[in-house]
Amino acid sequence: MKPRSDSKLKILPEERQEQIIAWARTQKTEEHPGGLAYAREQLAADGLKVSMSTLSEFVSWYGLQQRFSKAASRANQVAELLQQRNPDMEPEHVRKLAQSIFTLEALDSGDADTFVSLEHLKLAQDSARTKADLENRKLALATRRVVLLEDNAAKAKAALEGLKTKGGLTAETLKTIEEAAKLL
Amino acid sequence: MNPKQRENLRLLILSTINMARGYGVPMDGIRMGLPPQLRQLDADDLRAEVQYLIDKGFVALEGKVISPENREWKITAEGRDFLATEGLA
Repeated sequence: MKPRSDSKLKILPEERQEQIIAWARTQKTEEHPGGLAYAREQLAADGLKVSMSTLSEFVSWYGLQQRFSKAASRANQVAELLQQRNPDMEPEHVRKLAQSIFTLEALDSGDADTFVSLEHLKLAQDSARTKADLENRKLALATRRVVLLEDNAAKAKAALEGLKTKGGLTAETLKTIEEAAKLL
Repeated sequence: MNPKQRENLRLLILSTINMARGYGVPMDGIRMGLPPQLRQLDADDLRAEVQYLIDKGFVALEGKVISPENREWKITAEGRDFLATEGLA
């Protein structure tokens, strides 16, 4: 397979690409023109002829690739950290957060550390809200139990009070006591 | 834009999305991968080329990550294979 002419620099080994970038960043001196022209001269001396536009595109491509690579690496690190600290977090949520980190880093349009801090804060708030909801539900259930017990106790008391008027432990009285006890 | 320029634009878009290593790239990120003369392209024109790459199966919509207007696109296995055959990956 023959690579496209505009990709011949992009498929060079990493060290070679770094060398080209270093040439392109060289300042102009009395001996050489510096910048892209110098990089082009050096490449030509090595037997690799490229146009200025190809070289310019390569320098731009290299910078962006480094930036995206760093952003992806940072996003992966954050994803791992989130999974470690929040093992119960949904993988989809982790993926979305990692994607957000990548976007912020790649576009250099925000402070990822702040973003992560805010996300952690949000998670903590969500967690606290869930805990509070759970506690409220437990309290409501306990209150309901107390009300039912009080109600049953009142019914049992009323049933036993009724026995006083009848007197004696008849079979009917014993049955009434058993039913009252069940209410408690 | 002639057919050759359009082809180059599509390859540049695909190459840029490929740099993200599986993450989605927003429109601003795609623009960053274009040469200066193409960065001023109308958003709709650029989106149309991205849609072409989606239709070819080379690119997929990542989803609505932060808000609905912030779309991101990621490369597919087919897209990576295509770039490899072009000597661009």
